[in-house]
Amino acid sequence: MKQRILYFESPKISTTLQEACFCLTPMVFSSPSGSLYMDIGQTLKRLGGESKALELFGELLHTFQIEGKGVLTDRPEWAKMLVTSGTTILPEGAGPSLLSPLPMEKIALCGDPFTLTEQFQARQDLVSFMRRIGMKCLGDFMQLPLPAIDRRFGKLGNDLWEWLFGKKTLCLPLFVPLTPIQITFQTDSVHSLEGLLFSLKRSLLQLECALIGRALVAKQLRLDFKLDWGEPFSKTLTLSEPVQSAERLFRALRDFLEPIRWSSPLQELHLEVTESRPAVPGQLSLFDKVENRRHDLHLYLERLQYRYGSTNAGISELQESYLPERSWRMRSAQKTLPPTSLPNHPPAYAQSRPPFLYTPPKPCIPNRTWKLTPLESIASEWWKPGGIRKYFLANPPSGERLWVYFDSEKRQWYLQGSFE
Amino acid sequence: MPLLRHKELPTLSASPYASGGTLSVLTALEKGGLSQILSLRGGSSKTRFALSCLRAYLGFSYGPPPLSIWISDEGLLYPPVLSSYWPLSRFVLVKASSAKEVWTAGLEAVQSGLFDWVCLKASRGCEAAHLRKLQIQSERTESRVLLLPRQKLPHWPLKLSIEAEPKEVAYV
Repeated sequence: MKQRILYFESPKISTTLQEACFCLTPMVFSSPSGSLYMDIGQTLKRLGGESKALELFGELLHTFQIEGKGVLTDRPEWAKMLVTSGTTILPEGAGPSLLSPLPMEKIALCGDPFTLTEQFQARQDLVSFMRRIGMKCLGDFMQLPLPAIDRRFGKLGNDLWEWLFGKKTLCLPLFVPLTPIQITFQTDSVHSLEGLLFSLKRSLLQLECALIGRALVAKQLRLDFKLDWGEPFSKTLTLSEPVQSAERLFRALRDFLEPIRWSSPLQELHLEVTESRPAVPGQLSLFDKVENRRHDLHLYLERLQYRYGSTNAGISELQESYLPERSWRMRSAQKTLPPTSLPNHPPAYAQSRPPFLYTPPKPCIPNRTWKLTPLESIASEWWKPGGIRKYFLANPPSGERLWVYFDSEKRQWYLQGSFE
Repeated sequence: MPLLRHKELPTLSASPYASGGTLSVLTALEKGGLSQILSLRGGSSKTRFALSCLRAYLGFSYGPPPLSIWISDEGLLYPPVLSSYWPLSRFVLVKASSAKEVWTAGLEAVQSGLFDWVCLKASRGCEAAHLRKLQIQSERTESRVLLLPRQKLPHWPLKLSIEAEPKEVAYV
């Protein structure tokens, strides 16, 4: 199975973010503080491709208000070297060729991230030695044969050469969350219940991400209040129905916190999920399968869109345009299905148009035996390229009924639909 | 209307525009199984016929409209026209990359059990073994599968073959 390593570094990376990353992949690795490694190679298809995976990861970072830089690459040992500003997607299978132009200093970041600190001085010495003998970029080092590297740079040089060429496999330990889901936030500047609820909102979003990552729903929460002076105290909130969404948690906490009073200013609030259940979609009713079906449909649409492209598969919605190909668009699989009981009102022009469209229109040449009946003329929007189209119902001798048009700008006939 | 399976294929010649015709077809289109809709030479619209079957079904069924899917390789259903037959939010459109993909994706759609109606319009036919798989799966998941082939398909896996009567399309 191919590896695609998503590496991200930021000083603000927390275990809650690592837990939240479980919704992208189960292969989240333990790593030194300030860096995050995960292998999304096996879940790419389910996520809908690399750009979609990065978009989801970006949403997580936005929720946690974390900024940093990341890279999507083939091997974890190269990630630190390849990271630049922002998040970069490096093409699959293009590893060593991408490394060659990097400056020699980057070699200090190659390999096992857990040994970087202890080898830091040795690597710096090696880099300065390489600089002295005229090696400027990694390509100069990678061109040398292994025996020569062994002779000149010793065991460290040998190891680095093997890391660069992917001869050694780095096995990072998997991240296993052992602590309960918890968040702590400082409430120094909060003087009222409204203020507390406001700052709770974002923290609850993080809590929701962690719950989704662990596939759990919260049943019981413990709130520890640390006061400026006086004894700290705890309160337990038991939810009548297990909850995962931040919005519902917020509503429950708002009602729960309203009667609580504290004698001195609140300094810190610690929130911990003390009891949880596995999250099963649609578990609220034994007989209601709507949620499960919706979830299955969502996954199914994502798979289709990944396979055939987002413009070729999905649920359509109408747009205002007389041009047939612009009068509708495919909706993203992310959106939920709105409940609809009646057919929508069709646009008036639809009555004279065929039920089936060829996408894209096929160039055609109607010959003299075709019977052409004029139907309508459509001009393209003035701010977009394209001339006037004259549409005809074409009856070829084979008995088909086709929808063809003549493009006045391209001077070409096109077959766009079929009444069959 | 009794359904005769595997022995004799009932063929209906129906007009999608006459309510009685569609209703009798709907009676035949019980849950599960494959039905093919053919255009007669002379310009009958099998696509419109399939859509009018769906609309008639909507008129006679209770509850929210079930999910349907349309898979074809040369193009797509035109959503502004489709919207007069079925709610767009309950209709999945797929343009597959080849005729073979239409049959593969069709089988997957039936196997998923998500769709009550599965419409397949491929530019080429498929092997009889694949049709048999479709038939078994559609009966298991109770999906109604409408096939809109160019050429008439072998009858034995089908429960119904409909020849849509030619009629002037209401384009005026």
